Amino acid sequence: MSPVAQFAIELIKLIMAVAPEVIDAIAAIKSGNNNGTPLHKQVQAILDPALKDLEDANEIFKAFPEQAK
Amino acid sequence: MKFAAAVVALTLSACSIFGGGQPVTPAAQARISLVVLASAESAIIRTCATNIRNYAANGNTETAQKIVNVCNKYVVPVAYGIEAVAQDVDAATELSSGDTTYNKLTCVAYSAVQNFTATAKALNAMGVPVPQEVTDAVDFVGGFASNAEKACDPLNPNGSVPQKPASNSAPTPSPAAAPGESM
Repeated sequence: MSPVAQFAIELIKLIMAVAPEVIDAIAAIKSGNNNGTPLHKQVQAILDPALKDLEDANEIFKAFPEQAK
Repeated sequence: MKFAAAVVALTLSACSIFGGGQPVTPAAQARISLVVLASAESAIIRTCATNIRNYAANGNTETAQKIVNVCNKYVVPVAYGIEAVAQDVDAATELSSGDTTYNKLTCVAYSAVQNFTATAKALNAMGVPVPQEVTDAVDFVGGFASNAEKACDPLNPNGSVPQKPASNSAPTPSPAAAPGESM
């Protein structure tokens, strides 16, 4: 990867605070080298940790007696 | 919004660098849009989780419950919609403008943008700020999905696309509006 491209990636990370896996996925698609990684795997890598986080939060919230009514 | 537009412009410029100046094909644009949507969706989900924890921990279970309602009913389905269409894209022999999978992807993108906007308003009404990343994604994907409203109709005769809250301020959203309804 060229220094310019590397700089652009770092700049985007800095400004958008985008997760590295998102940058990597976009770069792979753009370069046409994503054949080895299915799109749904890329998407799952982004979404599944967040869904797990929400699931955990819901479980914690369920432990509060007031909301269970 | 000017800042968001600048960020999107910068991103697009940088994306062109990634490919060494190669033009972005419709298929690549569609795939990138789906990744951007997934990123924004992830940001909304994490916002939900953080605020559910915080409001519950502070004893404001009523607000926490409202956030749970909105997020579980309207945010989570978008995530599964994105994952499902990503699988369709992988299974498709090709992805070109106008074919069924492409239309389905743009339809999901359109619905997600509608949902993001409405959900952000609903969460904001509860005092929950939504990350700038979500606004950026709406700007980024909105143009791509702007013509998808018509494509959604034949693909979703039963309204199976993720739906949005019917009211910006309703704590427990009533049955959702049609995906194409203006906000």
